[in-house]
Amino acid sequence: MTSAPVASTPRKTKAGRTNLPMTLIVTLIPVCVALNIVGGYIAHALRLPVYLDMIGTAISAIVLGPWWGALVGVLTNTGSSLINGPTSLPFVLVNVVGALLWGYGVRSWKLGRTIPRFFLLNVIVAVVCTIVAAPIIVIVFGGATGNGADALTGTFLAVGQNLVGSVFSSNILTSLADKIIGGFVALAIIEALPKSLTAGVDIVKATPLKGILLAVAGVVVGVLVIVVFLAINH
Amino acid sequence: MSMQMALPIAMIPGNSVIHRINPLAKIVWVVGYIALAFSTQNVFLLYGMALFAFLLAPIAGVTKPLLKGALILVPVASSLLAIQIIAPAVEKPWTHVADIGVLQLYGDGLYYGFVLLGRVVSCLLMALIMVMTTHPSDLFTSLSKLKIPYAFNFMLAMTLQLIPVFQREVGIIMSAQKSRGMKGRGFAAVLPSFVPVFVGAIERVQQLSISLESRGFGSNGFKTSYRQVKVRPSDWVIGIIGALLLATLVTVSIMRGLWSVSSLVVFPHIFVFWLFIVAAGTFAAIILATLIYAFKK
Repeated sequence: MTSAPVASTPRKTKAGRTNLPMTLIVTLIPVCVALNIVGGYIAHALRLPVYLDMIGTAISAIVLGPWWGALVGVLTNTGSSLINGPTSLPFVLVNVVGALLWGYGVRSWKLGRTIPRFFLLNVIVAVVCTIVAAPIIVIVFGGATGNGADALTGTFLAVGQNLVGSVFSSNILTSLADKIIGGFVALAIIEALPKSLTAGVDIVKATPLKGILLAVAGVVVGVLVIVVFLAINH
Repeated sequence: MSMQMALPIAMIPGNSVIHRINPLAKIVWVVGYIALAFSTQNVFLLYGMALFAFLLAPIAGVTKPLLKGALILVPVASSLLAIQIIAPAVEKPWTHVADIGVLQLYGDGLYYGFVLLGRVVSCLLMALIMVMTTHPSDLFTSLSKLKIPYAFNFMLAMTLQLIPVFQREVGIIMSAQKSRGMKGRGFAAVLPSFVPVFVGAIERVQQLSISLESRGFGSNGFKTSYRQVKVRPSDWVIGIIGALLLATLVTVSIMRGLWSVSSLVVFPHIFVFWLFIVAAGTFAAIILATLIYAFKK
């Protein structure tokens, strides 16, 4: 019986983490970047209410390390700007921050050991990404993103909230849905990867996405109620 | 919308004057455009830049694809102007123009709205002209001359090659799901399709990794390229003119305090009112069409 050739056997470092060969990393990173770009494009083409453009970032940050994930983030926004212009370039910071949180969250802070912990990590990623993205949206695009979240921004503005608060309130909703779904899709993909790649990663087994989608809907509705309440009582 | 349709923007083959310009000269113009756009608030300058970039399109023979690519700006532009009319990103007091229900319209933010839009439009048009008239391999060969690390260039080039492969494979997997009576659209179809696509790609890149290792990837030494990019005297002229002109305008703009001419531009109240109606209406129509599309399928 023959088997497909594999790259040189990954070495284990003293810390117990897998040290993959550089040629394998150099070829894995474009796959993660392409997944980000195609995911984002498919979400846009199918009019899904999320971005799906950070799944590759999450995979690379968890499997390879946070700074490799950050490189995937940089390449994603650079590559996107070569495809559809420089409008996505300012958001490179969001992708990098997401990569660092996913990477350090799973590899150093052990937030990938159980499903609730991993869920919490994705919520943290969503909140921090919104904190980074909201000023960019306001400064570069005057509060507009061009997607359905702008209708929410307009609604919050109409009830008297300021521009930054409105952009933050609408962005947190899409970001929560996007990062939680993206994180759990990344988890499913990581579970299906060859064990030689994921040997050093301490992460829980994937869970059916149906349950996660229900949990996401619950979280988003809950946060929506809170931000509407805060906006009305502003 | 088919999953297998091509990405909106790609190189349009041709032999125009613009196609023949060295990628480095084009990069000088794109970087200069971005620097100037973000260091000025002069709407005349910004829309002049956009017009200049647009006039290059017929010369390069890419007018139609450029307009198609620029369509991505319609939702952003409409929501940006609408938001700036109801919540100006300038200091209070604001000039009240009209009321529509609970919405109060102001004219003060419109100038700034046009500035933001001008920045995005001018940078996007120039970047699209560069992307549509430059072969990716020529771009990466040129970037390596700027001492951009070879590995970085390789990863970027490989990404651009993988994107259509991934798109095709996601389309095939979703069609396979559909033919087996599973959902072919929405979350339930898209999310599971990512797993086989990604894992299949990983198995392939393991072989590619061995191939790279056997060819001495990462070794030191001079790297050659199959495609040769020449720098002609005309490329030098175009690059130097671009650098000097745009650097001068950046300097002038910064010295004039971002060169805002908001005091010269006055928007009549009726114009602000109708612009809001058109912008908000366009955006609402886009959102409505999206919702109808989503529920219909």
